[in-house]
Amino acid sequence: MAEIARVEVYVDGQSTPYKVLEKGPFQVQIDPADFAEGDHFLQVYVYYTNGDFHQYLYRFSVARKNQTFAGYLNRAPVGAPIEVILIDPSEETVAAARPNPFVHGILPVLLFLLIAGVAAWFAYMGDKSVKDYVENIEPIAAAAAASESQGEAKAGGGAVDGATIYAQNCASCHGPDGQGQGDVFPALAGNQNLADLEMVMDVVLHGRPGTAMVPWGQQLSDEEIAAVINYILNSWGNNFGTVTPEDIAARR
Amino acid sequence: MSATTRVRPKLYEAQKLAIWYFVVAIALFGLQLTFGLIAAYQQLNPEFWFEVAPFMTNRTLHVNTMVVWLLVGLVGGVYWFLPQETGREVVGIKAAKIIWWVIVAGVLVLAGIYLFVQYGPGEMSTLWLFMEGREYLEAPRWVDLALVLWVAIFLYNVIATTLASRRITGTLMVLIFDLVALGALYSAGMHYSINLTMDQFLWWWVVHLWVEATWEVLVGVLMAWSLMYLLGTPRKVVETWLFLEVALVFGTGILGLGHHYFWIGTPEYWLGLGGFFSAMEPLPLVAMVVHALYDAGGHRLMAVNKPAVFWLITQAFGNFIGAGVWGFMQTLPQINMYSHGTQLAAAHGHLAFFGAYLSTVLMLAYIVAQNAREHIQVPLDSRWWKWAAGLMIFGIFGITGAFTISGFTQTLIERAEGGSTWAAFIRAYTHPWYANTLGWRYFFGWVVLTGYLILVYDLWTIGKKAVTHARAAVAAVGGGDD
Repeated sequence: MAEIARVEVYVDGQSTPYKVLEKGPFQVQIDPADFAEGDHFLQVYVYYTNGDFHQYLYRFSVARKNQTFAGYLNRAPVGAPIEVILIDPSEETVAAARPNPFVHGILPVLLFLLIAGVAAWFAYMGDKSVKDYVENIEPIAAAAAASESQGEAKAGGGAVDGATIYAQNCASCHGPDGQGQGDVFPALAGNQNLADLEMVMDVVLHGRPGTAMVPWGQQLSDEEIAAVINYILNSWGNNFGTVTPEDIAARR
Repeated sequence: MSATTRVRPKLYEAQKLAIWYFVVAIALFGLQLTFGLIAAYQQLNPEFWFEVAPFMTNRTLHVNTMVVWLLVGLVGGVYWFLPQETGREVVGIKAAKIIWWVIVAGVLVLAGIYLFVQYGPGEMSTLWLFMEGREYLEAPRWVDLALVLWVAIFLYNVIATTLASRRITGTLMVLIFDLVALGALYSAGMHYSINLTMDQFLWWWVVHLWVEATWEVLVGVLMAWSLMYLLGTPRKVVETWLFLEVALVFGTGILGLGHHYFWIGTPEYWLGLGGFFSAMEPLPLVAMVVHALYDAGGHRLMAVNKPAVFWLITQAFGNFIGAGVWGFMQTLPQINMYSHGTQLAAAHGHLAFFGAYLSTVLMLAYIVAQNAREHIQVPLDSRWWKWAAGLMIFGIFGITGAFTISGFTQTLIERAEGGSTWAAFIRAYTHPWYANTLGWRYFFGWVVLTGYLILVYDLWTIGKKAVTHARAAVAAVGGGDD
């Protein structure tokens, strides 16, 4: 344990020390008579025998009249000579506490490896389960779905339901009952513009640039588009006729 | 009365390096504000620079530069105080200097690349060279590895210096274990998965366990050292508080991670865990307020550095209000079900990072500025720091207020009343409480930027002019020991 070799005390930034102490007790007397009234500061430089160096900076204030408000009575400014202990008494216990190479050197490294390892393990297991899902589980589900839909096709002929397509793709904007929403999404129920069947097919197929209406030609087949248009043209009191999948194919 | 010392002891090499850390941190702070302002303007005029750098790019850069400059500032603070705490030069300072300039170059190259390349296939080559495709904390693998090397060297500096000094303090012990956790957790963000839930599951380890656990503890250590420096608080007091805060931060923050797992596809038990523990996360922040004010009041604000003490107290309150109160508002799953992903999150983010970390780094910057000059001014004071601080605090509260009002509008009109339909979305976004706040945000952004410019000027000039006052009675002072 290194010993304190020398303590220098400077006041108010003077270049010559106010006090130099080579051995304990490391205290200095501050007499307010020596200082102007007001704020001052104290610099404490502590040199150790092994070359270590610590510095501390403190402020204090001096009052000529030993006067204070009663609320500050317990911490009144310095009005009479006072003994100042220069080194925080708790530094002594600190100075006696040596770092332990295992606790402060190796344990941190082990902790680092533990945290990084747990993260890597989580990532590895997670990625494995994701790949497992894609490679092993999804093909089973797909095979099951395929055999099911084959059975359906044989039984029902695979009719395309315009109402379902509307509910899945159109209702979120145009409303479940074709009532539309505000100025942005026009109502379809009772909309006389729907009488222009070519316009209707074009808008559903290609969208309407500059508005929120997106093209559906890529997502839906001719049969599906024809079904949903026929649903719109003949629901909610509308009666604007019908289109066929061949009409749709012709306008693609 | 101010005075000037002529006897500033020579700076340690680590402290000279710390000055560079703060120069770069403050410069990156300016970049962060610029990207934020552009993003705020793009909310008003979405076509502005849409082809060059759209909103999401600016937002990502806004968040990324913030994470980098705050971390750089905190690490710089450790390099500043470490030699003072151990009483000796930092071990391995040469390596620290080299890796620092590598990191600076890496960050600049990265920001440049990111401005031009914003998306691509998730292949090994793009992962290594360009990006990992995340919203923020985004870096390609080579930068990740450079960052790990940086943290490793930093850790070596701290541990080796402590062992070489042959004395261990409570703050050093907390620092060592905290930095270990901080560095190791970064590795959790480096994994890549095609499953978004898995990816986010680990990504939040970095985002949350950094910001709400390891960074808070690092701030606690830097606060402890700063209080000892600024106010002369006895070590016993700061260390007792520090241990209490560490216990509370880790006790609540680690499982508080659960509040990020509410709606990302994780099991339902996280609702209870996350809700309970994150609701207690404000506790350590209350402790920090009590601590800072207790010390400052106990010393009748007799500090050696006025702007630093101001930012220290701002940190105590800002951390509690921004991280604690604004976080608590939306952390319970019952509330978060309606508020998550709204601008309430952005309100919390802005005030929390300002209060908890920006205030800390600016406090450290003023401590460094005081000691970086030939002459140390005690107490350090200037006319401009008050303007800088006032404008920045006014601005950030304006931004937070605007975000809170628009987030409230989204929560109420779009989510709670409208049930998240598209109609409700449009009703919320065209509501005056939403639409008008976009402009307020932008305006208050300029207020913060004005404060920033004054801050830069102030940090550059404060304490430079040697102010000496004639003393009336100096009888004993000149004479040495009598």
